[in-house]
Amino acid sequence: MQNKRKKKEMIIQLIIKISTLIAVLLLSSITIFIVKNGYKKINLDYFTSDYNDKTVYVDVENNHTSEHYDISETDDIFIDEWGVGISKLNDDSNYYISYLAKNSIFENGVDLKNEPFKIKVGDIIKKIDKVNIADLKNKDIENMFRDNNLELKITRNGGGIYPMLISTLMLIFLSLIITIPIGVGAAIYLVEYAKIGKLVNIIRFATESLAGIPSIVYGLFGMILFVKFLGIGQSILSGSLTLSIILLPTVIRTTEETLITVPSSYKEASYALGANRLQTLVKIIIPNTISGIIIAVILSIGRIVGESAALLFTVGTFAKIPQNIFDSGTSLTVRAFMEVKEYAAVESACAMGIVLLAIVFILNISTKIIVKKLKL
Amino acid sequence: MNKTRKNIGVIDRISQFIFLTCALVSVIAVISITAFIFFKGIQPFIKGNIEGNYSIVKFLTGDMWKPSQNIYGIGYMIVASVFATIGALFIGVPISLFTAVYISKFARKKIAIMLRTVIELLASIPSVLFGVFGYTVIVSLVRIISPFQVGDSLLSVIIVLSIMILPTIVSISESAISAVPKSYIEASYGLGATKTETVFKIILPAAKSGIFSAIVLGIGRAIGETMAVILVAGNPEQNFPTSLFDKVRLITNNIVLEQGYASGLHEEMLFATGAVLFIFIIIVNLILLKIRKGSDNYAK
Amino acid sequence: MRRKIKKLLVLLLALSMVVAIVGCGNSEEINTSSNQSSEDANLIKGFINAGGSTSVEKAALKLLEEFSAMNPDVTYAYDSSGSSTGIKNVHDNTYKIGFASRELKEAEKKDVEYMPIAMDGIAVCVNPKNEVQALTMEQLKGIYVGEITNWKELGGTDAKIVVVSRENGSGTRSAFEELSNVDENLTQGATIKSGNGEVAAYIASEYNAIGYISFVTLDLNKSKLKGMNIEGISPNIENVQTGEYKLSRPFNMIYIASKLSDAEKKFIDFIFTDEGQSLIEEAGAIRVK
Repeated sequence: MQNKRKKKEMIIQLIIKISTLIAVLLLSSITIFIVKNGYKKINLDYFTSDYNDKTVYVDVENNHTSEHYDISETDDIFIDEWGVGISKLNDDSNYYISYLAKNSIFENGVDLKNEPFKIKVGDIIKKIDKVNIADLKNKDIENMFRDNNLELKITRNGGGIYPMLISTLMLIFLSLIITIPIGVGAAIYLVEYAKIGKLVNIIRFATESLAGIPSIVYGLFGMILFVKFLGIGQSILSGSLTLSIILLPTVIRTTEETLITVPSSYKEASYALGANRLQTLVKIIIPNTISGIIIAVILSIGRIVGESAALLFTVGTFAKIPQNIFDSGTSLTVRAFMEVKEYAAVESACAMGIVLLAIVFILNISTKIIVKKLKL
Repeated sequence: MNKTRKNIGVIDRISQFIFLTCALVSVIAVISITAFIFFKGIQPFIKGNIEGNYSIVKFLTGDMWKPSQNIYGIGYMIVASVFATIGALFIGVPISLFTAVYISKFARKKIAIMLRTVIELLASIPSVLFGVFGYTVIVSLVRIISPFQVGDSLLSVIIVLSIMILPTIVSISESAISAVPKSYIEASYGLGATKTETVFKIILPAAKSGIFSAIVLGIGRAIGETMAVILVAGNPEQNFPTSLFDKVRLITNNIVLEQGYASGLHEEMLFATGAVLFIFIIIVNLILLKIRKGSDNYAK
Repeated sequence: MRRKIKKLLVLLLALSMVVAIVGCGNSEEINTSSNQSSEDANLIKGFINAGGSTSVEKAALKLLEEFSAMNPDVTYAYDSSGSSTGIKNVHDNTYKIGFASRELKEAEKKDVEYMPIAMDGIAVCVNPKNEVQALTMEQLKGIYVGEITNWKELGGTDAKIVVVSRENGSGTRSAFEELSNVDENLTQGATIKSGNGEVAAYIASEYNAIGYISFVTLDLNKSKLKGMNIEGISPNIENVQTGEYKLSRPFNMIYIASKLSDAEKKFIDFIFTDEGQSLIEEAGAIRVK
């Protein structure tokens, strides 16, 4: 009898341990997958470059001020007088700048707006003086550099996530400006002012219901109302307005929780000293709930960064830098989705995934540290 | 002196009004979203609708969605979403509960803290990344065992959803399990129960309400998920799913696939789909509320 | 103190909105004044709000990139959402220029202007490992309506045909179903993919799949897919131009003239210049001018 029980005990304990192992393995395999497939693309340029290729017409002028440029021997074509090395990746590709000497003339290019444009190593040269050079022979290209004035058509490869970072920052900023005041105000009302009764129950029920609505419904609603009906179009503003509604319940709930923990002795002492409700609120209660508001902010940022269904049709999918809040852009999540859907570019999506993971992990850890420090 | 008192009173009332307005914003938001969706969603079924007319029964039980032929049946999608959620729970809940039990009762303190942190961190992974993982890894694996040799399937959806709800259910259950009073546990050992007997007969029932909340949240996440599953589901235009390896179209995905260009009756049908989703979630919440109340009564 | 901060935040929000609106207005003023100066007569400022078909995307992006290279103060966006969305969004002003890879339906023609900017072929593709290389139109239709279900019926291996089609709003799908006489009878078991890229990626990894994509997409994925001969005619540009390859459709551009900005108008003009049409050819489509 004892043996049977012992056996059963061991088997069940084994099942428990295996389940935990499965859970941990499944969850970490996603992280490992993302990191493994995306890490190659991550470097400093990744965060600062444009996403799309950019083509520019650049004028360069050789004044023959006789600087002697350092020589490079590894390029297909090396132009001594300009301090430039040009090569082809392989037979089928374009010519690109493989070497730029210090103070090379190419660094002093001027674009169509007469503004300086610094050509960089890696830039592709498509045309010199309106002539496609991709199919020309090395010698012919060298000859073109006998001119002192050249108009180059340069393409700079994109692949960076800078536009998405800017869009996400704008979304975070605008959504928080809208949500935090309203959410904190609502929480204050519920805790400090509301008398227990129907109105409070309705408000609470409404807040809880908002939390249960799936993001796609918000996405549909946001598209119809903000983008089309109000005519704001695909923009940071439409996205932020949609996001603010999604974030409201979290902000209200988190702020409420910290408001409740303010000891009533504080409030009573304040009233005893003759302060009215508002003064008590402003001077005693709110300062004690800053931590709660900070946590609400961090949770909101985490939600904004991870949100995709609500942004797909309200902000846009094209990776450009929004000029203002009425302009369209795209977030990392939406872009990663499009990368997989349209181009099966798993590496590109995973690289964005690494950035996303890093952001949400840092936010998560920050929340924990704040909670610990303030012993909530 | 009197003036200041009066002023303070006015300021107090104004600020109270401002705070009330803030609180009402969430009420207004919920009311307007709900009203909008149901108002638009009910249009297709009202006789005399300008855009056209449709039978609500055909809508809810239909097995074909072909807007260009004026056929709007989401029956097969409802079934798909239900199967997917149940499947995800079937796999996800046991694994999650066992994991929660392990972290709370079996693991050494340091390991428990580490596991807890790791799982909470993984709860914040954006859903899109689950989608990328599913599209690349899970679909390829399912393709190998599928009799149709196709990876897009109900099974792929279920696997992705199970992984997604794991962190949610684990963290909340684990808190509930850890909160069970020590006296219960000690009493159980005192009566000669083994560790696992204590866990399953005393602790889990005692943590019931927390575990239920965890499951409800998990269900909410599973039903409402779009981006993670749209790349692995197949999204067919017809047919009730009859096997794990059938392609499925979930209610949520139907909205995303068509919302860009739907107009007229088609657009109203998408709102109707959204309304169905809404009702679904309300029903689930109500059922679970009832179960919880029922078992509370039983405990009494 | 708290109230002051709240006030400040509200002020900030109002300020940022004002700046945003003023910012928009300013750029238009600068636009008109710069057009008057002779030095900058050729430089246009503005934003080109475009979107629509995934088939047209590559050609449109080439045109937009070149146009903004020539006019550095022009920014643009191409929202890849599908032909039907491209058309609808012009109607409700979400896009200013929409692109569709099919003819417009009667109801869609109302209140908008539209014209083809290019022609494109639809290639029927299979995985390179598939032995079946050619189909007749009858066989193609048979596969897509579900009458032919196994590759062995066509001389291939004994394997079920995985039929891949596009989402409802796809212009390529509409054009394909009309040209192949499949019309509304797509087989039940078809897998739906959104976007040319998704179809291409799927066929590249699925040995028994068959799908249809734009010539432009086939061009980008030449090594991973095989374009099938239809009625003995191979899928290339020459055969479309002579009319021998039957599966072809226009790339249509849709807009409402009164809503276009200066930059958008000039961009449309650019599309029909020789340089614009050459770019379309570079992208893999067929010029119309």
